Amino acid sequence: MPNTISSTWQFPSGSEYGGPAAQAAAEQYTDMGTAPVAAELGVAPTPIREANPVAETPASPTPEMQTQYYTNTGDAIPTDRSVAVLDAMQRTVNAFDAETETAAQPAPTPEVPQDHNHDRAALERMKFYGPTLETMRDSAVGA
Amino acid sequence: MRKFLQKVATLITGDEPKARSQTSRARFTRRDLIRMESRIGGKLFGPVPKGHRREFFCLDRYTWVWYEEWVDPATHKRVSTTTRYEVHDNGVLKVQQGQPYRFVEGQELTNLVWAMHLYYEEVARQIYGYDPATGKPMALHAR
Repeated sequence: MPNTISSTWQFPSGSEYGGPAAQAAAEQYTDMGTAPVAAELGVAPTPIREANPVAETPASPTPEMQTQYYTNTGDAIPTDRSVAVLDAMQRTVNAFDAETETAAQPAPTPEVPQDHNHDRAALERMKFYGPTLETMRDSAVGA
Repeated sequence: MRKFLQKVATLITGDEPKARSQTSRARFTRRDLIRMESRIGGKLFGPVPKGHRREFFCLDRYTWVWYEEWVDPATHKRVSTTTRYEVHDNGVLKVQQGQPYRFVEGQELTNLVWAMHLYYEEVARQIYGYDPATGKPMALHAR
């Protein structure tokens, strides 16, 4: 026995090693982390999703499929009222998504204002130098 | 002994004694000071070409002047150009003879504010003995 086999592994009674029964057993236990064993037995690992097709939600389910889904999952079959509530919730989510996408777009570049104040910081510095120098001059002349 | 007397005078009058350089400046007029400043200002833009004369100075609280004079190689006559920069609340207006008034912007504005900054630093230190960073007399500041 390879040491990759789970300690819980047991062949169904009466099965033959590597025979059809073993393959069926391997398929049955693919959800037990025994995929390497299935490969060793010559059985391609089966995705868990395919092993339980009921759990999948088709893109456009038929009424029969929906009924089957709710029966298998045990969820409550939606009524018209609950469907309406869900639809309203979905519309709210869609609106939120649309708003978020709009907000994420870069803002348009503003035009340079006509009063040429695009470099306000530089202008403020310039307004500082002149008066300060004037004060120094006044101080020097009056000294 | 001199420091002791200065300290006594400070305690009596409440004023710090004036530095020697400040005392010696008392004979300068405002025009003299601007002339001295313009010598420093003319060197801020790099070497002056041979035969050129360049002055750059702060005329008053809101006016800066760039004067350039040279000999026209074609006519061998002296020509000059005077540019006045007026610092307004909404920008710096550039005034040249025979040219339409316009606001300084872009790289020219960056260069101008940098020139003003250097001018302020050099003039404050070299002529008035002020520390441009603190705005206080360097003689007192170092004490």
